[in-house]
Amino acid sequence: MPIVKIPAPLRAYVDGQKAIIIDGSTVSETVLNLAEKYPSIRQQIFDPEGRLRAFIKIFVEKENIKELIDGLDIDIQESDSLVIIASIAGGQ
Amino acid sequence: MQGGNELDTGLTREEFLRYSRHLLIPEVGLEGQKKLKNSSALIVGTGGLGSPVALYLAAAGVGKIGIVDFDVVDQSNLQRQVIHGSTTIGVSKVYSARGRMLDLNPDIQVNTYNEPFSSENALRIAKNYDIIIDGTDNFPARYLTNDVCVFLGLPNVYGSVFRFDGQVSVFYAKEGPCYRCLFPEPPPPGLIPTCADGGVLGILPGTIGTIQATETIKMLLGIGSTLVGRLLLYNALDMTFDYVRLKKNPACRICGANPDISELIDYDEFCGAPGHALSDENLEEMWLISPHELFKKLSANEDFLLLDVREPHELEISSIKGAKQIPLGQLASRINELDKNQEIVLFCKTGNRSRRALELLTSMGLNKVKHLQGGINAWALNIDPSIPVY
Ligand SMILES: [Zn+2]
Repeated sequence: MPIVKIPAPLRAYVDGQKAIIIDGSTVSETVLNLAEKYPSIRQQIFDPEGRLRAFIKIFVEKENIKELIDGLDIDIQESDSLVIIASIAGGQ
Repeated sequence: MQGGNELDTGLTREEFLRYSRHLLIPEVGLEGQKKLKNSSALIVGTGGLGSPVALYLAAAGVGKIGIVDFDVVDQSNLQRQVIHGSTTIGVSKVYSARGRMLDLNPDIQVNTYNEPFSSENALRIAKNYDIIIDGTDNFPARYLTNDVCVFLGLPNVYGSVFRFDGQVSVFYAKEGPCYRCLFPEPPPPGLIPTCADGGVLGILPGTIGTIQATETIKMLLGIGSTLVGRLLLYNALDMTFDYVRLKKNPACRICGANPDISELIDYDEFCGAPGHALSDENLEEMWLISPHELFKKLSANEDFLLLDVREPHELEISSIKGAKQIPLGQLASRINELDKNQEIVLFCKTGNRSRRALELLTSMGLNKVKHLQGGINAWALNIDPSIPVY
């Protein structure tokens, strides 16, 4: 099952975990399964219309190469990781 | 000879000595050092990120460095803002920083802008520089910095931090993606904690700012592979550096095929909040409770639930007696622990997270909810001086 890597600002919504093994054969299915398992993270990742929020990016990691995906209907393999990135603004 | 001591090589005798370690590197050499001397960089923000950037660009001999900030040095800055010091507490950050930069290198020019970087002044200030370094700490300033760079055709050396994590890239619309290509919109206000709420490891902006300074110097020299088109993800706890490849977004509102942003906009409005902190201005009074009102309520033994939505480790710093604790991140999944008919008063450190919690609870049908104005820090200042402000 693919591994989903959670960015630091969202870890509070998944009991502090950095990476979670979640079932799914497409990006969309995997992320929805994640939101099913951890309801608190749903509103962080999806807007009220169910679209991926504009400050969240998902990359598929294959053999250490991380590629930005264009849509959620991308097939993923057992050995792939999904890397979720959230926009952060700290600097002071 | 110019200026008494300038050799016809373009550097003075003192500068040959000062920069000898640069002159020895073939990739820099005399040509490179002269390039740095004749180049200019604008650093937006002289805080955690801006501190190392300003120090290292000054030390490297970047001839003209501009610094923008409107803040004054505060005790709580010194855990990470190493360009300032105990002797400059209370001094404007730009003047504090300039003093340290000129002490490090009196041969450079430091221009100070003791004002907020805004849509009104940003283009006027930035147009005099070759490169911009984003050392700001809030989303409106980051979108503003990006847009200014796109309009002026300048590279934007971006860095941001959160707890143990940092992100660095060079957004340069001429050659690759811009910040808006990656993140078209900021998170809704309050969704992602700020460093003031979430904290930051003091050395983290040091690491990230130093990488920003490195990228700036490479860009000015025109050497190496820069972070244009790549985002560096750094984690200090695991000590990992990861890269993700970025693409220009054809639908980008400012650098895409059909851009609809053609001038600077109202960035506070775009980001849905004034500045970096949430304010209670727009929140109706019925949702707010002052520290004094809460004190009266507690003294009168009224029946209500006092709910602390901070993280467990913050309880060691300060607490209000009788409060139940559910961190904001667990609130949605532990909603069944709350009684819909009981009045609830939420609080956090300063009021940002409790406001978020209030929005969450009201969206889930709990309507007898208020949150403490100014958080437990306001409680400490107004009611209970025995607990610290943090
Ligand atoms: Zn763009």
